[in-house]
Amino acid sequence: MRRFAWTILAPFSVQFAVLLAWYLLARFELFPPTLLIPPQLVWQTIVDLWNSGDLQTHMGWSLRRVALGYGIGAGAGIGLGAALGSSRRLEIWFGPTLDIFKQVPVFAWAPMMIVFFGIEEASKLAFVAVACFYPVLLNTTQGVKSVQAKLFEVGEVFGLSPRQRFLRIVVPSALPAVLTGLRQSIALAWMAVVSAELLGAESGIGFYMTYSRQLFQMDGVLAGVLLVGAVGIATNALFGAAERWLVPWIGEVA
Amino acid sequence: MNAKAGVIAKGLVLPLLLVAAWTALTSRHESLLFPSPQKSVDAIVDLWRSRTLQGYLATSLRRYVLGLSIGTALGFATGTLVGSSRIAERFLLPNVHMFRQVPLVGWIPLLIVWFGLGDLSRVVLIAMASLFPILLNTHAGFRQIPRGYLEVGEVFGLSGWEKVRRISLPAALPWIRTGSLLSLSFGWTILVASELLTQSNGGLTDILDTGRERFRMELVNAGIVVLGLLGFAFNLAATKIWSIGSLCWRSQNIHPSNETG
Repeated sequence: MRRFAWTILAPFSVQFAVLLAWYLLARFELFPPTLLIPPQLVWQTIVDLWNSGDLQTHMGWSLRRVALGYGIGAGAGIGLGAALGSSRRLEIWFGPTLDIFKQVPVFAWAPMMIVFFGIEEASKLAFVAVACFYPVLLNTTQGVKSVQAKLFEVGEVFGLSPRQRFLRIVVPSALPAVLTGLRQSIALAWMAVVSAELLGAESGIGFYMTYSRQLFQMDGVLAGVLLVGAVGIATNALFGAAERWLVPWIGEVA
Repeated sequence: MNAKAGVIAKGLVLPLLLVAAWTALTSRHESLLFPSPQKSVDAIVDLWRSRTLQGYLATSLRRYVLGLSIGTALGFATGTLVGSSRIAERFLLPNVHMFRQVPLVGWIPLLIVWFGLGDLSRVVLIAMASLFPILLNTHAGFRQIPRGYLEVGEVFGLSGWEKVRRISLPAALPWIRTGSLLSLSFGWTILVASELLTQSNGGLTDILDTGRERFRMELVNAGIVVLGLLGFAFNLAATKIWSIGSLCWRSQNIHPSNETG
């Protein structure tokens, strides 16, 4: 019971206080309604969005972009990372080049993607793919590299085929690091999609936020922030659960 | 040493080859999408000569330094608080973790409504970006301090504040260092995001925007190179600064958590 009080009620009380402060500030119009509207109205906006189907449409577009871009970027990261991690030679020849490109802040690629792939879907997907590439690459390389030599010796003793060696030794050893990379990347992918939609789009949750802002619809802007945040929190929780399920022997790091 | 030089040399082969191939191909027939590297170099020189680049740089740096200082200071203070007080940790840390999962760019429309299209929005966003890495690493640094250290402090009759200053802070310093470096690089990334989302803002990303709008790829390439080099330089400078002085005894071989925002 004491434990419950500490781990659940303590953080929740802070959230409640924030919500209450928000409500009171809006209720007594300490800020003009163009800047802050009460939480219940924002909730109403979200419900309306859901009932009209707009929420599903915009969210569907955004999530579709995340899925495709993330699939490309993370897939490339895992493939290249596995190659670089298992071959010292490849790492020596290709590693530094990848390091050079890593120095570029991800958002700086966005204009180039737009020039190359146009303002439509392709450039968004390319941008998301670029944004989630590096964390997966770096973590996979590290994970595959850190497979202990003595495990391979054990494999030798047991006469494992290359295929078995890969599935039974490399994959389980590298998996925690790969999952860490995948989790860092999904957060970046979501951020990249939202920013690409803010930059220019006709659909998606980022577009909806910009649209609401331009019409000075504060409820839409706040609803957008809440929805974008909720998806961020949910995906992180989902990936955390996947980690606990797939690599239960590793304690989860925050 | 020789072997190391060989490794570095091999690593440089591919980038040099890429630039050489690019130069050779574009000298035959130039296309709009792939201008020669020389053109990008010329573009940077031109921007420098006309003092445009210096202007961009000053504007971006002002935003960056301001946002970074505010975010790092707040993050460090909060990290120290949740690191040294169990109660504060219980109340705040789960919320920090939750808040951190909200993608930063998602705040941009709200920030624009609240703080306008000017620099204030950008500074706030950069501060938010640099807040979390330093906060979480400072917290982690405080939490890994061996209990024995603090007990020694008890024996010497140090007050609470003295314990923080003379034991906890020095012991947590390598973590704080990592956190501040992560804040630095994530702050730079978010600076670029904050500038791109409002055009012609007088900062470095104007190079990218101009290039895109007028279809001058050499400017887009130049902008990417400039932003990459600057980010690299800041990181290098900060690492050097941190390695001077009190951290020499352990900083190099410790790599605590490396989570960004």
